[in-house]
Formats: sequence, structure tokens, C-alpha cells
Amino acid sequence: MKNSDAADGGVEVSDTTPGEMIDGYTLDELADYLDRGQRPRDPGIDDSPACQIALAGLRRLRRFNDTFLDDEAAAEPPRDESWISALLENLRVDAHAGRSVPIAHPDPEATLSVTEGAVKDLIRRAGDDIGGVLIGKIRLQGDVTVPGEPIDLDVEATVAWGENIPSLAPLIRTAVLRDLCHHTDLVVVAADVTITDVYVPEEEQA
Amino acid sequence: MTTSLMSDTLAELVGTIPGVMTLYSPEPVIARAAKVALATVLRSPATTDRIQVTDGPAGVHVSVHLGVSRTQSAAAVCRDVYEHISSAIRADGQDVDRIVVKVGRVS
Repeated sequence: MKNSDAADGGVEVSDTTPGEMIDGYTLDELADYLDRGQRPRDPGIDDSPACQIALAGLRRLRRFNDTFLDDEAAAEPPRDESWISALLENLRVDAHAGRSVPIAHPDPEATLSVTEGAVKDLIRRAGDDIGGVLIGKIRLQGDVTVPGEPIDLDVEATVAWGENIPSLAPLIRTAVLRDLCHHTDLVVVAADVTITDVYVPEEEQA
Repeated sequence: MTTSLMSDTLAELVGTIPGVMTLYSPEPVIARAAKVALATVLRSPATTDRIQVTDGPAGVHVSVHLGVSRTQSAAAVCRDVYEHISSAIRADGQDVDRIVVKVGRVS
């Protein structure tokens, strides 16, 4: 996958294999759908939770770019495409439903769960909603399919230039754990947040 | 009650539960795509049950795939949906084989 327009959060996908698609759509197609205002309606996208998760991630990525890039900088070719390509790749991988994370119920007839894709979307959004943060790679370590199993959580994040990293990392950790605790039965025993990148707009690099 | 009618009734019921935003098709993507393709060829609308109801070995088997609101606990909504469906089936005089409730998105 290669990124063609980092400032827009747009992607150009080459040599796409079925495994790289999200319920039958490439990220590029989903980005185009977003550009068209989600018109005409495509039921294949609208009825797919994985596609909806990817669209929401693309929207947040664009919002981040809009906030931290001025128009002049946005018009310039990105200096490092690998940064945004990695973010998009994480978004694509994490949108898939993945494993089923069980929700406890005493009735034996009940099989209740949240998809791993929905859980990772919760984590990503909890972080992204903090100003100046974009969540990157997310790892749920441990068997999330076993009720009560202790889980380690690793979250990587990019922060915008000028943000206070020592204060942001605990904020991300608190927001993520709060949402996981509210929405799931996961038992998170360790949550590590690593700031892996600082996003520097063109004007700061010059 | 037929399984198709029960699917419609349960979909209506589940749609009224606080926190439920969307009912996704419980069918796999490939099955849905095949239905859409067939409907295109036949020039008829593609119809998919929003809640899958089948006959299981011990009674009615139900599968639901949900999108829920972020304002409510996804786990609590999931349990609520199960309770409502279970009560509705038993009120209809039928046994429950299994009720599968999966949250695919919290928005």
C-alpha cells in the first residue's frame, strides 16, 4: 500500500489482495466513498461494521490533518509517507471483526460478545478524541476469547508537535481503560502507552 | 410463528431497546454479496433478515449482529437484547436453543 495524499488522509492502494480488503472494499474505495459524501448509498459499505469502523478512522485522520496542517503545508508533498501509511495499515487491519470478546451471562443459552474490531475501534477513538493524538498500533495480548483471562494492552500513538508527551500518555491510558471498562468485560492487568512519533507540520520542519 | 415472521418481530423489538443503533446482517459478507448479485440478475430487491432465526436442536436459535450507541455500555446493551429476545421466545411458547448477540460496532 502506498499513500498518495497524506494531507488528505487519502490512500492509493496497489496490488490489493482479498486479504487486504475490508468486507470487499479497499481503503482507497472507502476514502472515495467518504469524498462523495457517502452518496450514492452503497449498502455493502453502510451495512458493514468493519467498513463503518474504517470510515470513522479515516474521518478522524482527516480531522487530525486538518487541525495540524495549515493549507500551505497541506499542499506540499509529504516528506515522510511511511508514517501515514503505517497508520492506514493499522486502521485497515484493526477494522476487521477479528476474535469474539465474550460478555458474561449466567444463562447457558446466551452467547454474547463484542468483536475485537469493535474493541480496537473503542481504543482508537478514546485516544484520537484527545486533541493532538492519533492512535497507531494496538495489541491485545492474551486470549481475549476466554472470559476473565488477564489481558495486557499495548497502544502506540503519534502526537502533534508541541504537545506535552509526559502529560498526554497518562491521559490516553486513562481514556482507553475507562472505555474498555465501560463497554467490555475485559480484565486489563497492564496497559502500556508508547508515543512512537511526533507529527511535525511542514512549517515547523522548515 | 414462522422463523421469518419471528425475525421481523424480534428485529422490531430489538430496535426499541435503548442503546441499539443498528442491526447488521448476521450473514457472512460473501453470502450477502451473492444475494445482492442474484437480486441484480433477477431485478428484485435483495432481502436479508436482520435477525437470523432458525430451528436448533433444543428450540429456537437466534443470531443478532448489532451496532450500539457509545452512550450506553455495550456489554449492558448486549445483555438487554438477550433478555428481551429470550423473554419474547418463551412468551411465544417456544424453547430457546441459543441466542447469539454480537456487537460489531460502538458508535
